[in-house]
Amino acid sequence: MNMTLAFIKKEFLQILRDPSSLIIAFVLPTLLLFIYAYGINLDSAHIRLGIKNDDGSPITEELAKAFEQNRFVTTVRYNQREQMYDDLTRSKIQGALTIPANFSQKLAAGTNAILQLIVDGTNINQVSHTQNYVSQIAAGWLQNSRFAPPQNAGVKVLPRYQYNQNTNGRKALVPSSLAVTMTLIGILLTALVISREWERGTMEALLAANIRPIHIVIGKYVPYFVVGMLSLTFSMLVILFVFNLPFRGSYPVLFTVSALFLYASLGIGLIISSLLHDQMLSSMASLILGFLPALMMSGVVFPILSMPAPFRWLTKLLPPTHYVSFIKNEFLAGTVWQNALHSSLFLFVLGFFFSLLVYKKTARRLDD
Amino acid sequence: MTAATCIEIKNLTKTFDNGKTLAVDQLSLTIAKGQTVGLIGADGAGKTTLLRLVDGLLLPDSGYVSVCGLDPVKDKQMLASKTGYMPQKFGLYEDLTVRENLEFYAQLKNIDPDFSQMLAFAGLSNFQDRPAGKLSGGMKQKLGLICALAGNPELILLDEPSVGVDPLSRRELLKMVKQAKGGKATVLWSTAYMDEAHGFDIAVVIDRGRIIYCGKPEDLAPDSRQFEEKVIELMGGYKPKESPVAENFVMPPVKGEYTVEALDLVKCYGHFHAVKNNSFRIRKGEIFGLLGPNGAGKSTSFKMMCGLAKPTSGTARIMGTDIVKNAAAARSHLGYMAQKFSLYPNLSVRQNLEFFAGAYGLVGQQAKEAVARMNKIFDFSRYLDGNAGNLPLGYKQRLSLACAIMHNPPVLFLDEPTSGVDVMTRREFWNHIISLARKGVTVLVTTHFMDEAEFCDRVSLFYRGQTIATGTPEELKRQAAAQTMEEAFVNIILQQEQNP
Repeated sequence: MNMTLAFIKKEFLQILRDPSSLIIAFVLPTLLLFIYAYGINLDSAHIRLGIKNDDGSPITEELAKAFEQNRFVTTVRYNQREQMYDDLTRSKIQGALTIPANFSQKLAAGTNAILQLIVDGTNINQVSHTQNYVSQIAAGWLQNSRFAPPQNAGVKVLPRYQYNQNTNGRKALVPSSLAVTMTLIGILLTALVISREWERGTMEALLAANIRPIHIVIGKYVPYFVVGMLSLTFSMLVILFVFNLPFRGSYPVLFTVSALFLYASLGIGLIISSLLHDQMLSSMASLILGFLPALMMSGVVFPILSMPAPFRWLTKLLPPTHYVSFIKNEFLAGTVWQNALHSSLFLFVLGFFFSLLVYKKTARRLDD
Repeated sequence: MTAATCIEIKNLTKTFDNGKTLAVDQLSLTIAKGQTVGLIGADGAGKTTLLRLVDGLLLPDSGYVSVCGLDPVKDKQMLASKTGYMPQKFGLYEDLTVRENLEFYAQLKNIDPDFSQMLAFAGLSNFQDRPAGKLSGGMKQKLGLICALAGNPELILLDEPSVGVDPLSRRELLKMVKQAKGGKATVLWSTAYMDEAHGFDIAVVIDRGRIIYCGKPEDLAPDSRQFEEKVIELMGGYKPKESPVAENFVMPPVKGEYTVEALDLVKCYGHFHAVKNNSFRIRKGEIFGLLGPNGAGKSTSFKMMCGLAKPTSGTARIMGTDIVKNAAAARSHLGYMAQKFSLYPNLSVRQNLEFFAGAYGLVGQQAKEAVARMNKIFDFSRYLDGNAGNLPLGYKQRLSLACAIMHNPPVLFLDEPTSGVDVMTRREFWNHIISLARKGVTVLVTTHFMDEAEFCDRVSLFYRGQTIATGTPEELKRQAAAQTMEEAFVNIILQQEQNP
């Protein structure tokens, strides 16, 4: 116990003395938050649109056809409103368009006819695409319609956003950046710490002293866990008070699941670190094995649903995948217990598996 | 095994690379309690492997080891509290302070010693809040030593603790070890210094994993100089012959008497004067030794002399060319061998040679010839296509020298060229240096081996950024009323400390 404490204390002192670890823990997350909030625009051209036609007149059927024929839109026709909203909730469609019963009447009267559009607000890019597509297709149809509506008639799209009511890209993207931040700390920072001991020759002195692998493992987990949680708290403060984003979930749940995520990420970092005795190699490995998958395969940047099946399956093995789906819900929709428990379970199992590996791979002798 | 035995080793074998490299070969050795043992051998002879096997850091392939009655592999935890082990590259945390390092290692051993007393013992009381990375070489070794000595171990294992340490600090290290545990501890100390080894109770000479001598050093030779000759003889003997380096060296024409001049060199880092004032002139074909304790400013002077660091004021001239005003031209006359291995560890020996041939402007046939010549002179053929990083230390130093002299420079700067190198390789190196000087090459060299200083034509003693004595080795010895250079070095510095 004494030894573990001594090790933890030493590790903390090193973190405090080393400006680069503090930069990774606090400056980098802030930078990432800003990049995610202002710098990233993700284009996704194709949308799936649900259509329910309450009017049913030939003129509205022609409008629905116009949507069907557009090559950027795949349409799904619904007869029941409930069914359509359900599919929207499950992300089967990205927009739900309702043509109201009085649409053709209003058009014939030479007034603005209204199209009601509900968009899935969790993905800000799709929100703007969906909205733009619908307005443009409707306007194009109006000009070329065989039914030649009166001159001053128009179509107005009335959008509503599900979950994300005052659509604002930051809300959807910024929380996901937490996953990237925590991965950075979990993997990049810790990937260096054991290989550094090898490189500087301190490992030989440690092994010669009365130290067991368990002391090294705990001594390396605890300090970086604390740094990671501090960094999470810091990022949350920035999100809440600098970006003024609302948080709909519960803080205890957020911190519990984040802790589990950090546990799993630290595991990956420490495995890399104990296998590679060279800091340069470790940092490259942590970028390729840790950071890039977190960015590209966890659903932060590219939707998992649009990945080929083997990749979708692979994403399940990555801690960030589970964390990203959890954190989006937590911010935008509030705690979804089923999702939170599911993520927690996965993260815990992954983390536990990784820590067993770390323990097994921690050197007991110089030629291990 | 009797109660008075501390280490007992029988038929111990250890191989690396799946049995391809034999490091320790059927070795047997018994060491009694309380003895101080010097471990001597060429680079790659198996000294470090032996120490690591004794401390349980490596698993033996076969054979029997017993330390303080314990099995170092099975009873590692128990043994750890009875031994103090100091690895070659001592594991200090450079960003932790002196005291924090000491406390950490003490806590790992689960002991709570009197830290102030230990720090005072090492003379580090005034530096306890300084980060370990900012200590001089000698101080680092002393700190490493007290970390290993924490808890008063019965057995102290030290892997070349005196490499790169000046004579003054070396004496202090030795004194500290001998005082440890009231002089009752068993000490196993590997070293390249024959005078050190001669002062121990027992000398063990290892060659290619086997013991070729084990006994009292006095039984081999009455004094350290003859001891060195005997050890070299045991290792197969060194026959001095005309250095093939010098034989193949083409000396360019040189004008003027002085080829290297340092003119009032000063270097400040903030308020700290690393070099206060350094002036000297070296004649063509002279070997000029720069001596001084760790941290005296030798390396800083060196770096300024070859244009790697800009002097705060003053300048240096190489073959009459000003190093500050025309660094590139001045450097073209210069061969430089850095203190740290500064070649590319991931390139092969051949690739390193080819690269440096190109870097010095040798092309085509010229470059090919230069590489072939170096290969022949230094006998690299065995290692030619292996990575330079995996070479034994002696060969690394040979390769550095080869890269420094490929372009036949009339001036050679060598910064601790023999640090950590075994006694045979050192002989060979000095044979090269002296032969080159005879051909007219001017050599500026730093060293911590005082016996090497005797090979210099003139030496300058450097202390706290200033030259405190210059002259031939004979003159300095006379000035300090000393028998050996080592004694002269210590006396002059102690004198300087008393009346600065």
